[in-house]
Amino acid sequence: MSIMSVSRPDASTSMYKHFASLISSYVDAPANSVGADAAIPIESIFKLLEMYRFNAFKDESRRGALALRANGHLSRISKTPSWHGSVLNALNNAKIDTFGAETSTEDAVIELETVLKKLTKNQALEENHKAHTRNFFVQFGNSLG
Amino acid sequence: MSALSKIDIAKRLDDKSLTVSPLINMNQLGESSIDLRMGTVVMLARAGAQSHVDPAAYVNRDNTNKHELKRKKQQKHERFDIPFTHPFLLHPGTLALVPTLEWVKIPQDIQAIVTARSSWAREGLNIATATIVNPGYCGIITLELANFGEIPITLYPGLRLAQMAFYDIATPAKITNIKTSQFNGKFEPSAGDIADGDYCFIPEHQKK
Amino acid sequence: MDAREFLLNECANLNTVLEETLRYEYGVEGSRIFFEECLNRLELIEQLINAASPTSSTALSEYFYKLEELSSLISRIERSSLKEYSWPFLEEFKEISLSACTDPNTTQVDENGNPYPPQVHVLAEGGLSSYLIHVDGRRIPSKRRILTIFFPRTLKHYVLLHPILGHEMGHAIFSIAAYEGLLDKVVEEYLIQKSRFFTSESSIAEWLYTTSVTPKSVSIFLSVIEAELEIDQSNVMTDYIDFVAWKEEFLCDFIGLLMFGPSFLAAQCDLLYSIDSTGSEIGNYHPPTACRVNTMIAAAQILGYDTLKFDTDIQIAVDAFWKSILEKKQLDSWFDVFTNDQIQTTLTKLSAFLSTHKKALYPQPTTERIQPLIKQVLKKIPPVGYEFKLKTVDGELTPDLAFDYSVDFRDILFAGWIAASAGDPSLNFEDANKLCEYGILQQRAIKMMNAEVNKGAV
Repeated sequence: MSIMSVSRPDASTSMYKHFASLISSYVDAPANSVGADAAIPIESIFKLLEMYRFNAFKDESRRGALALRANGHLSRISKTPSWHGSVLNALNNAKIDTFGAETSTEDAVIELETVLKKLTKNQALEENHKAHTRNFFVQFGNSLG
Repeated sequence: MSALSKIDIAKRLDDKSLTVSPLINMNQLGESSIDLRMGTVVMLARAGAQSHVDPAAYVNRDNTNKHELKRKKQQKHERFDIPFTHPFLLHPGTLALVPTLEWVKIPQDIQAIVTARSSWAREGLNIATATIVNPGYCGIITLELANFGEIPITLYPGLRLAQMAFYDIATPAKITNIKTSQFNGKFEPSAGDIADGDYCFIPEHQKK
Repeated sequence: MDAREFLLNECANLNTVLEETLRYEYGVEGSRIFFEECLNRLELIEQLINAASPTSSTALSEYFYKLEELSSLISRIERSSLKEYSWPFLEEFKEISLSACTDPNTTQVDENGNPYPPQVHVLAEGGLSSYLIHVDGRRIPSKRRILTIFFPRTLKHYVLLHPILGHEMGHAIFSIAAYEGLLDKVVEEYLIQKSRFFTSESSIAEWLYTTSVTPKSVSIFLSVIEAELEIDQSNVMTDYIDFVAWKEEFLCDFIGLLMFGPSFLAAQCDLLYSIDSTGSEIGNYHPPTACRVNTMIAAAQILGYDTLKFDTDIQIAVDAFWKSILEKKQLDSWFDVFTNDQIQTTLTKLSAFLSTHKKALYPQPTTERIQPLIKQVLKKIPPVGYEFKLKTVDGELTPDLAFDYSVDFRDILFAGWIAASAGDPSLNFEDANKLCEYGILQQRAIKMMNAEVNKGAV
């Protein structure tokens, strides 16, 4: 099995699915959310929520200001499909399922981010926030396939 | 030839005929001298780069062998950048070239002498060589640091290690003489040519 | 060995490489945070690989790339060395980057609740076009962001050219999701949608290919890409120009100018025109050079950088500096893609954004600040906030050291550019540059002593 032949952009779906499952588990066992092992999954999901909140999915490395050509040669641009289509779709599904269509993305994300911040400090969560968070990340993981 | 007092030095600094820049604290100006601070580069004579010091090695014998000429120069000293608050350990018997933090411009009618500050000298730190700074010199001063004690000395860039006293000279130097100085306008230490102008005293067979 | 075993083996190899990086000093602050961050990332990726099914090619290929990105980061850290760059400049630059590139929204905060700043790492690379700030992608699993600042190895001491990094800082700021949305809006609303040519892809193509007005040098370039790449008006926007990247380039030029002031403009003019002498190169990701330079010259004039008045002898150098800048302006109005009103509004919006980040906005230069520094460079003295004066106290002359001279390193760079333009045959660009580099170093010592004095310790 080759692991280097995949040409599609890295959507990070496997990683986000794994992290989503971890976070929904932290809601019921908040002691696990404190410490080095949980820090990266929580921060990575937090960054994804930020991209969702600001519709800022570009996440591209730009060339330097003076690097007018690639390796000194003229070339066509390499067209890669955007990476975030399936992830955005899963986020939207989870948001609608959890908060309903009428709740704004901004409001939903702010609530989820508040929960994530509390988890890193092992602070008490409100019951409805717990339920929202658990449901959101379960749905998000399921939607990622 | 007479030494400049604190007020003489201060007047020279004030009228800009003498530059020692910057004095970052009042205590750098002594009764008849200015304290100089350690800069942030250390050139350490590298053991093993050459078996012995030989003036003949400085005679440009073979212009075509650029690799050898350049390699010898590059390998003679190891260069270290030592940022502020970082330590540099000067071991006993080691010679290190460091620039001063200060930039100096010596006028034509003044000669300067650089020595170790006595408090450091008592710890074994010696700055005894090349004490004279000629009239017209412009640039950093190279401090040749050697540890004469038995235990290593930790140095930090910015510390006041040396002091410079000034003497007026009766007949100001001519600018044409100063332009040829091999160290003028330097920003950091480098090896000098110990045989410069004295090639006639090097045996012919050593030059070939 | 199957794919999963291979990746786990690679994790072990990477761990060894990471430990080897501890043999070197690669930054003023040492190596601890880099080491810990990289180790945390590696352990996490290892966990992900362990949790993946051995037959899940999607997951394993995803983790392969995560591992590869981490491997590249560690090798960059390993190759860095303090002696390969001008660390006094970098220390000043880092202060700006820590302020401007700290993500305001994060779970990673200190005991006071303040977000951790990014970790900044520096590397020298070959090639003039190496100026770059590499930023961790948002999909990189990480606790703290790591920024890698790239310098061209050959220009390591050329502090007068380093302000071009202000542009790269723009990209690093843009990489923060909250700022991407905000800055995108500014550029789109005030610059692009109000422009004559950039409102749609077809209007951009039309601007490029309207042969009656397109400058000859641009037409020649277009014919080259047609011959070499079969690019013409019909496919230029789909196969050759990434306009999203172009917009980001314009934005980052504005940020560079507002962050570094005139020294950014001077560095940009010199560097871009040394690479693209006609200014007509159309990049995949970069707008034509002359469009960028003309826009920045107009912006500098709007900011009033060229209106400062100096003593007569200094003014000669200042006039020479601005003359050399204006000589880089392409007079064909085809290259003036934005109006002064658009540029003015964009400057106002971006200034407001940068002013909320400590030190990120270059303070409006004044004659009082710049003139003493220019004088020092012209006298071949490193420019710093220091002047020795005597004053009379109780009838006695007493030294009066001006300790409170805090000087912004960007003022030193501006002064250096002006002095280098003075036409003094005994002070060339390299000399002025070296004096400025040494001045920035000395100014750090002054700043440290000032802080000590202010604490009452001296």
